[in-house]
Amino acid sequence: MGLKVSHIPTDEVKVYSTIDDPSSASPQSLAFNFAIYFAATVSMDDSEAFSILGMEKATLLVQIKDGLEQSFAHGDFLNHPTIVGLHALAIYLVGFVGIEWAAVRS
Amino acid sequence: MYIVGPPFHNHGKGIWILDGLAIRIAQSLGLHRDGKRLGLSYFQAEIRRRLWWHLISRDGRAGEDYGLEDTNSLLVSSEVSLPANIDDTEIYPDMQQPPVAKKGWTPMTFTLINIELAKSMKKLAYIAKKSSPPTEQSRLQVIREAKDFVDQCLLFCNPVIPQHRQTLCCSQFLLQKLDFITRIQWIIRQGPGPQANFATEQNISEALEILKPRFNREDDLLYQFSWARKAYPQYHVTMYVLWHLCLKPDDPRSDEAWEAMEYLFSNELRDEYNLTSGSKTAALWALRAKALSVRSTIGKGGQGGHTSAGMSAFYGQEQTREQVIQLDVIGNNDTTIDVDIAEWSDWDVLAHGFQFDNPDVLWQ
Repeated sequence: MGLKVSHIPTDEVKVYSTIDDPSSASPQSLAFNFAIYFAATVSMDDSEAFSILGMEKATLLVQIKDGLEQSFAHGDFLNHPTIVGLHALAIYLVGFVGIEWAAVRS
Repeated sequence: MYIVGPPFHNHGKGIWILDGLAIRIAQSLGLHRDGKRLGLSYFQAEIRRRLWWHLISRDGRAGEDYGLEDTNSLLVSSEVSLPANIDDTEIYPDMQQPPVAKKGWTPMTFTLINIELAKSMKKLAYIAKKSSPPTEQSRLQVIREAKDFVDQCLLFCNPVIPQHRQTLCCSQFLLQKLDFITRIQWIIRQGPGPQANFATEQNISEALEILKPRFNREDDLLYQFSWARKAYPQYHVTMYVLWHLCLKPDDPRSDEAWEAMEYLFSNELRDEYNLTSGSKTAALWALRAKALSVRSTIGKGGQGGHTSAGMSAFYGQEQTREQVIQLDVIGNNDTTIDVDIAEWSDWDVLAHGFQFDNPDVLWQ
């Protein structure tokens, strides 16, 4: 992707550690994963998303967004922000611009 | 959590607000101070620089998207060092030496170009505000410096490799667009009413050139990035082309220009996107209706002698374009546009206060 905000070698470990054991991951690490899922899904077109993820892109995006918001809420992000949480927000916002929300809503 | 979930139909303002929030959060974490001065490790400092510069250079596109003026001057005043032009493998958590910047292409190259262009935009906005009217020379100076920087970065890009090609295409596109839109902006600032150097052949050629990649789907290597095109409609350039068509409905390139317009209006500027993007899309639809009606008065393909008629039809008794556009939208029932008048103060900013595109996108 265009603007680079991540550091792949260390972020990759973060993402897969969370996938490996989500129950012990911090809420903001969960948010980080959701943000990456979100951006990845946005970058696919509808048919690609369906064949790879087995779901309607719009439906999935709403689910991921819910996951991300809940993670932020559980981690009390606004009162206790962390760099990981801010990374999550930054990546989420990159994907967010790419959404046709009208299509997602319908 | 409501803060992160702006209403779907209002994504434009949601982004603007959340970007501001993200910068506040960054400041609360001390990201506005360089990590080295805070005694952090080389690795931490570098990661924080990436995040900080990402956030502050993102804000720029807001002007084009929402007609809101970007008030932060962090881009030109920030004391945080720029991130280094390096591959990810060159930094690791327990490194003891600062990273050494590379000359060739790295995954950071495009990011650094974007930051530079965002800064240039900021400088131009400052010049535009400070002097009225601003001189073309001062504009060219900034553009030339930006171009030198970009050229230097692109020296080692190999167009055969998709990521390099993406950097090449997008950087050149962004530079061209910055040059074009600020040139138009400078012309408009010469004073109210039509300017001789506004609807010129060179300008329309360049505008169409800038819009061209948007419907060029032939580049398979860049297909993977095509989603980004829809996310960033070219409001300013589209607006210029429509103005041009109003002023010169019989321009030799009008058919070509209309083809481009019809493509954009049936894709990224399609009616249902009005919901998400608000008044500027509505304004463009209204301007399109105006251009269409001017076109029909001269008859398609009419030659010669119509330019001045078109011009007076366009300007009517008004002296400035914004007023014309504004009247149009409010008064023209044919366009069935429901515009919140209160949002219209923003249009002036959109028209005059061009802000550069968001960096994190690929334009093809």
